[in-house]
Amino acid sequence: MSLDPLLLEILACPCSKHGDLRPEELDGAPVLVCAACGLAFPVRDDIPVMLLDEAVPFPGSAASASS
Amino acid sequence: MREGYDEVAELYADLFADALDRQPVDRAIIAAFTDLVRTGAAAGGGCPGVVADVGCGPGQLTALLRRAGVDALGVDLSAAMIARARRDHPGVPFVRGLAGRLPFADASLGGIVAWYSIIHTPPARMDGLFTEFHRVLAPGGQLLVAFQATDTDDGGPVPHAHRVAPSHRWPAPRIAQLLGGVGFTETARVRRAPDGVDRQPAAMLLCRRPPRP
Repeated sequence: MSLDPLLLEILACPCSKHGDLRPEELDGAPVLVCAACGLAFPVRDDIPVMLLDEAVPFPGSAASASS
Repeated sequence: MREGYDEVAELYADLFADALDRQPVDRAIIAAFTDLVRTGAAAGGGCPGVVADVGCGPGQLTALLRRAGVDALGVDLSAAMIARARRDHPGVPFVRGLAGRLPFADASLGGIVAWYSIIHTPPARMDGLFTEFHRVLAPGGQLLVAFQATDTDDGGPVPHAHRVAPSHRWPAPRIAQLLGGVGFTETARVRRAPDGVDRQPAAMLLCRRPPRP
């Protein structure tokens, strides 16, 4: 993904812990995964979609293991 | 609201693309804001220089902030608005997000602009919105809020016939009071009469999160 460097640096998860995000791939599509809640946020056309209702648990993350 | 702005994104963007070119008073308060953000970031007190344009719509103000030398990014809920913003302003960073649940860490921003975007927040939730702005702003960070104002300073918010989504006009003192209540200090207050762009009077409040003592 070609995410703007400013966005990668400044974005945090909208969850209550506002965890750091790391770039990953989910089913071949780019996502940003929260280190605190484990949700994966889609990045569509290089636009991060930082909405909790459009995020899914990232496989193997803490959130998906506990749900 | 998401669907509402998705449907009108192109029309809205065409209508307001050059609005600020015709609004010198608005540009003046924006210039004061960018000056304060740049000064704060350069002062070396650890205040970041990044500014979020919250409810950026088609991104014309985000682009103006960047031309003013500020590290600005745009946040909006509407996918169609953000798509238009990217098309009109290549190279400017945009993200989809909610104003009341911002995708930023505590104290990570040097400034927030909410340019006519607080008007869709239900009055009972305005306090929570300002608490969220206060959370993401670093101590010393600047907040600029603009909104359609009521005709007089008395009373409370009144429903406003907005084409896209329910909205309210507010008396400036009430917004100032709410901002003060969550910890902001007012710097300046502007009341602008209806102009060629807006049929309602506008109020603009410039305030900051107090710096650490």
